[in-house]
Amino acid sequence: MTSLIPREETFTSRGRSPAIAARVGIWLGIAITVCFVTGLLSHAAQDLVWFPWPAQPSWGYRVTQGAHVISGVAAIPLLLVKLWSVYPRLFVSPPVRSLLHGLERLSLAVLVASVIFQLVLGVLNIAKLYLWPFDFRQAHFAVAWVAVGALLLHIAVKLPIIRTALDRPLEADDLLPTAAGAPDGEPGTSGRDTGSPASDAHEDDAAASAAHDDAHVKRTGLPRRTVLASAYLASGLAALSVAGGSIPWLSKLAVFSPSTGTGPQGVPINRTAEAAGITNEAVGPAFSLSMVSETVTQQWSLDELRALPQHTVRLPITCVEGWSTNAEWTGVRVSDLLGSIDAPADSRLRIISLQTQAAFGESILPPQHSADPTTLLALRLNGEELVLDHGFPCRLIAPSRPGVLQTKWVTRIEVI
Amino acid sequence: MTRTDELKAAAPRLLIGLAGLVLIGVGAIELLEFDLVDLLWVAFWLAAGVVLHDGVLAPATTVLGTLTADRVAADRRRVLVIAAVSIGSLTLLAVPLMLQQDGVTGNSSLLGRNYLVGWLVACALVLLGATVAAVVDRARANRVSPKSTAAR
Repeated sequence: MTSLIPREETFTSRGRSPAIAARVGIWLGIAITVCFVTGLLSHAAQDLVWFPWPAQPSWGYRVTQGAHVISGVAAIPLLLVKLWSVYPRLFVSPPVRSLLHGLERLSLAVLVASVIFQLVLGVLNIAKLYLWPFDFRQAHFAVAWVAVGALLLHIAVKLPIIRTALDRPLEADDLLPTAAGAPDGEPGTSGRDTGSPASDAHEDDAAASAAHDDAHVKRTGLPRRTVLASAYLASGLAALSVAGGSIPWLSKLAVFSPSTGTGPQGVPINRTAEAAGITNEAVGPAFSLSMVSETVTQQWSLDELRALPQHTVRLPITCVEGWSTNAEWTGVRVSDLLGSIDAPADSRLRIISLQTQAAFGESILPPQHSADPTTLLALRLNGEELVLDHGFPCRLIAPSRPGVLQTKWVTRIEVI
Repeated sequence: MTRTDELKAAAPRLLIGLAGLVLIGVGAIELLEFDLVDLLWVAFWLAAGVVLHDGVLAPATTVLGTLTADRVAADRRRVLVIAAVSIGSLTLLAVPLMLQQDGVTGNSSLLGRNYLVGWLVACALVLLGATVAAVVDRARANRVSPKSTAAR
């Protein structure tokens, strides 16, 4: 059994080297940073009522959330190659040399586990494949901090190795122990000490594994530039396979986007009326919209809403799972409705849906969005009356706002 | 180098490391808000990713790499590796979507693409690109050194 477990020296590929780990690591670090920052912004837009998330530009959230999904997907091949390049370090001997070494390995385990967790759960969320009972958003948010924290810790520990690796030519022999057992003479370091970042695993293909038969690189297989090229190309292709969900002119290439880019009235639907528990009765002739402030309550029937001044705006609807679509919305300005009950246009509002099932039955509209002239209680979409799945009789549409907060089937708006 | 110099040199690393510990702490506090069952599930998924990678994916790719190293000429292997990394990554990305093909009932606008076809087309394009690259490579190698490379 023990013979099945490799030793660090078992891996002879040139590619499994700090030279690769450092270079791919930089791009992986950039991707993770973009993902983290845009994720925090999305969290702020959804959950932090005090955060001054701007209403303009209207495509703001479309860009940040598109960047979140694209950078996360682009990180997958980078992570795989990065882990592949340092996989031998998993089998370092002895496994723990000192308390500090043990702690460092523990932090690497945390880093690898949390980054894989983030990317895997992110992809499963895009596919709406919820194979766990916990709240996805809450877990994705919490583990993001752990992942980025562990990444910073890792960079701090490995900075000298990263610098050395980047200073040396890509193909230069490095200090990793090899089958030949000859660390190549970097002063003062044994091969053991030069690891590359992350100790765990790493995969991706084959890249390299030993190629004993090539005279030019007899110690170790393919040139490192091949490994780098494979990582960057795969990362670009992965990004391209989802980018069209957010970038319309790439839509045709978005083979792995969760959205088809279209749907009833030209716009995809995330939650249907049936899934939200909307009944025909609730949206029938008895429907009314109430606007409630501390002192005033006013109601409108659907026909009365249609009789109010109508405005048409072009706004994107952006789903957190990585798609967005521009559409033409027609309806009543929310600021006009506020004016009709003498409430300030920049009131903070609670938007309440007829929805009886599933999450996001109500949302908070920040003051800057309420006051924005393009924020509508929409009655029409792309020139037609809203269909039920898009929120008939009326729905909120506001600029630069997560799709889940563009509340559909609105029946009550409270000034809070 | 005096002790002060050493500290100065190490300061950026210490600061980065400390910042990392603080962020991990923030995450830990967030996780403490989970109830025990959810927390165990999070732990399960954290461990599962590492175990599947280190115990399955990484060894499998290593074995594949070794096998191809012995059987495929170096110049072809270069193209093969580049194609394999792309196809492997795209496959990992596509599997959850293929499992959910038409998974959302009553809503064809969500997860309504044909992901199997998308994956096949993407793989076919990668292979096509790889073939073209291999042919170009070979032609170039033949021009430069007709004997040494063409032999394999």
